[in-house]
Formats: sequence, C-alpha cells, structure tokens
Amino acid sequence: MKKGYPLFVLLAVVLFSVAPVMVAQAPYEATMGLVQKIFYYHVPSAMVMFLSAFICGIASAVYLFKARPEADRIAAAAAELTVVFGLIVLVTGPLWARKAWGVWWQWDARLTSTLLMWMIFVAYLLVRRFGGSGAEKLGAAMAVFGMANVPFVYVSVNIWRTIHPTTRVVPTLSPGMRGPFWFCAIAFMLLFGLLLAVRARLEQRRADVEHLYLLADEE
Amino acid sequence: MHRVTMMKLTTWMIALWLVGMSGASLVAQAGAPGATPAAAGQAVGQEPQDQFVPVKSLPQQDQLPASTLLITAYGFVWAVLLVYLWTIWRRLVKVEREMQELSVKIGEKNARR
Repeated sequence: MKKGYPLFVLLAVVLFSVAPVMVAQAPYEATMGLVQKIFYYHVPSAMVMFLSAFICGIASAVYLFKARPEADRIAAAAAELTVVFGLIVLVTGPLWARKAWGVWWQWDARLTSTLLMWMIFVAYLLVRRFGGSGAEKLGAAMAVFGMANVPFVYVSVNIWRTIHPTTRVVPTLSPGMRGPFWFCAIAFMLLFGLLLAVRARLEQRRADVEHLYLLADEE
Repeated sequence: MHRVTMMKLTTWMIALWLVGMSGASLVAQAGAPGATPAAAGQAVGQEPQDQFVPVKSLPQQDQLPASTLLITAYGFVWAVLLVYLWTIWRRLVKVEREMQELSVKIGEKNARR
C-alpha cells in the first residue's frame, strides 16, 4: 500500500478533476433540471458513508470479540469518515431538496433515519474523546448498533411513504447519467480508501506515542 | 467553583437561545412571502387585498436559482474534504513531532545510564 499510495493519490486527483466536467456534460433531468446534478456528489457520498459505517461496525465487532487493537484503530478511522461523508450527505441533500421539494428538510423515513445514524457515529466519536477509560469498548458497541442501522436507512425509501427517490433510481439511470455517476462513485470510493489508510496510520502513530510514553515512564 | 461554572454555562445557554430565537424569527419574517409588502401596504394605508391574480410563471425575483444551490453544494463538498485533509495533516505532524521528542528523551536517558 505504501508504495502504491502516491499513485492512488494522483489517480484520485485526476478523477476529481475530471468529475466536474463529466457532471457538466451529463443531461438535465426532466422535472428537476440543473439542481438534480447535486445527485452526482450526494449519492456517492451516501454510498461511502454506508461503506464506512459497515467497516466501522465490523472492525468494532472484531475488537469487541477478539480484542485486537488494530481493529479498534480502523473502527475509529472509519467512524470519523462516516461522520465526514454523512455531513456532506446531510448538507447537499437539503440544498437539492429546497429546489426539488420546496423545503430544506422533511421528517420522512429516509432523512430522519440518516440523521439518526449520523448522530450515532457522532456520539461514538464523542464517547471515544471524552469517555475516559473503557470508552473504546462502549464506542465499539455503539458502532455495531450504528452499522445495524445501515440496511434500514437504505430500504426505508422502499418501505415507507417518502418523497425521497427510491433505490430503483440508480440501477435505471439513463446511459448519459450512468457514466458520470459511476465515475464520481469510483472517485469517492478511491478517496475514501486513501483517507481511511491515512487516518488509520494516524491512530497507529498515536498508539506508538502512547507506547513511547510508557517506555519513558518506566526508565 | 463547580456551581459557579454551571451557573455561567446556564446563563450562556439562555443567552444563546434568546439570540437564536430572535434571529430565527427575523429570518422567518424576512422569508415569509408577502410579509414585507403587506406590512408596507398597511403602513401607507392601502386597502387589503380582496382578489388573487393568477400568473403563468413566478416573477424572476421569486424563483429559486438552481445554480446557486448547485454551486453551494459542490463548494461545500470540496471545502469539507479539504478542511478534513488539513486536520489529518495537522494531527499527523503533531504526533510525529511528539514521537521525535520522546525518542530523543528516551535516547538521552539510555545514554546517561
């Protein structure tokens, strides 16, 4: 990973430079027009948020049952990324909704469940930051609970009445929209992978510092 | 000491709540369609409106500009990602510096032995 990292960074820069051009060239949607183009960043951010929540939950479960510190470090990194990409989803969504629905926010199943899921991961970070000793285990349990929310958030648009578009939108995209969408999705996935690696490295270095403090105290 | 802090905190929270509420009511008043014209109309003594006139499309000033929302959304994504990258970089630099200082400290201690 270390050797390929600069190459992946370069690739991410290229993808994110080309993405706006592809989005600009994508056709307008019939009813929403220009504002629908928020979709090309909003949905990939949501996909990354779900993926990140899953990684955080699985790593936390591994930490809870196997007590492996590296799993905890990955979970902490993924939780932070869930919050970052969740924030993007929760801000770009209302900007789109203001034009498309006429309101910034609607307390429907998808929006409310997404907000709740995001708040669980914010709570995870707060618990880890201010929870004192044992906060890692408590946080890990919260992350598993947060991960369990993901499928409900995803299918909420198909189960309950909501004005949010359903999950059938992406598989049925027209060819003109499909290309830019998957291009942006790949760019976001790549960026997520890179950020996760860097953030996990930061956690590793922090653990090294703690170890050094212990060594300094012993002597 | 703890009680004084709690009282200060409560005072600050009440003050913030009051500022927020007055701000929100100002925004709501300014944003309510027709609120300002009605108030202005009453001020100059005009007759209240008794008929609504339909039009085919909204006047230009009432239409929401999609481009502004789109640019705000994309700008926000870029801003968040760049700020996040900067925070990671800053934290990494801090940890690396701390590690270096500790390594030097441990090395000096070992040399003294």
